[in-house]
Amino acid sequence: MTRLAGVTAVLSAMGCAQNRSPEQVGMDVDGARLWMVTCDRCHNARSALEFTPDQWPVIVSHMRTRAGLTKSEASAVSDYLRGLSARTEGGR
Amino acid sequence: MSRSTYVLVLAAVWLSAVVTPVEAQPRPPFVRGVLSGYGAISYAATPDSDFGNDFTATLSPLLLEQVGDDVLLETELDFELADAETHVHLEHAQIHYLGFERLQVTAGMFHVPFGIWMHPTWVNRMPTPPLMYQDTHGAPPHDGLLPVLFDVGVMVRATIPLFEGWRTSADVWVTQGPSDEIPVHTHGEEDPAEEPPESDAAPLGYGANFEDNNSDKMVGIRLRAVSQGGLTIQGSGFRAKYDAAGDLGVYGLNLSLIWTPRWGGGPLFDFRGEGVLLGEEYLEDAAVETVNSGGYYLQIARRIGALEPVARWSQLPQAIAGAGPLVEERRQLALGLNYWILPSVPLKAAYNVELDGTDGVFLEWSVGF
Repeated sequence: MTRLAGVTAVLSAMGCAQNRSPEQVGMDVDGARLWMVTCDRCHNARSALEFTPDQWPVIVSHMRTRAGLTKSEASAVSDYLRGLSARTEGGR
Repeated sequence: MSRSTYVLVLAAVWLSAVVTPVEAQPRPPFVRGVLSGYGAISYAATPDSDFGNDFTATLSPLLLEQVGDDVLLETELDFELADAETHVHLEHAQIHYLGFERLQVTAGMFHVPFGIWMHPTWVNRMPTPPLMYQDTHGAPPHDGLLPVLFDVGVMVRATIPLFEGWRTSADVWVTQGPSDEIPVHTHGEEDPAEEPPESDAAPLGYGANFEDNNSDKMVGIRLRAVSQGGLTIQGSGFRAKYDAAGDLGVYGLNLSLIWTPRWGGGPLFDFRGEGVLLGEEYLEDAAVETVNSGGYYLQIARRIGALEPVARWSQLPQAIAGAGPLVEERRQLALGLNYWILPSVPLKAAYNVELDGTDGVFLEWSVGF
């Protein structure tokens, strides 16, 4: 719970929560948590800046086939990384 | 519907399309492609009397094409220096259907989920594979039990919620299976015909020959449980027939564990261990015998800033089949140090202490992109 609160605070501080519904913020937190605890079981987690918002769903689909995520879990991670990439002008 | 009403409905539809705010999030293109992959430059030296030392380079581009929301095509090629040539081979080519919530369907040539060793050079934490695996990218080929398995067939993966706080899944696959007819150039390995085996059991190729030599297929299953606390436990197994007549069988069992307990923002350490047991039938004086071989490794890594010390112990017990050994005994302590330039760009160095052979020094600069 403390960790989730910390992630929420970080996202809020970055402006992620501005003009966004509570459901969308909740989805981001879930996607952030999954991104944190799933990716680095096997490799260092990649920065959201490394791919564009359009590329992230493809990358996450690829990783879904490795990590065994459900469709909704993959969507949460993808939405989180897409949003972060878009807000920070990430991509190649 | 009167003509005027029809016109009004058409106008409303047209207007709704025209006045859609441009700020609305655009739907991603129907077909999206990403070029990803990895590459590595490696150096290997054996400080014996001959002091053999070699540089080598590999490039493995991975093309991902997503069609709509639920279909993903992925293809990986490997370009690898080998002797006087550049070897190019298809690492995998597979189509996934991802439209189900808890089910994935995969067809094509894919990574068979037998074991946990990751072959991409920037993902694994050592420049050489554990003794049980014959070959990975950027590493010199050496004897082992089996390669990281890639094979052609069909796989279904189901994610099943069984326990609170755990993600459990089951994979079932049917593929071409192993064969005792190994082509000359397979995955950069040495030509097995150059050194005829002393044992009565033949070394087997897995995914090395795309033409199935019999009507029997490899059938396998993997069960995996992943906890939110960073523990992954999985067991996998397969059985197949490998000779042209379809008389001689082979089975494999694998038990793997990954433990990455979290502390603050990342894993406190990365521990992984893996044990494999293979049973291969062979003919000795017209009677069918079975030779069992196996091996294991334990590896631990700890990130300290950009540095990451790694240690791994691997062991392969000797396995005798008839007139000679199918597998020679080997014990190895590998000590490594990685420097992470970026999260996907490590510089890796390792010294492998071979208790039954010649030590080796290995350097690798790897890039995941």
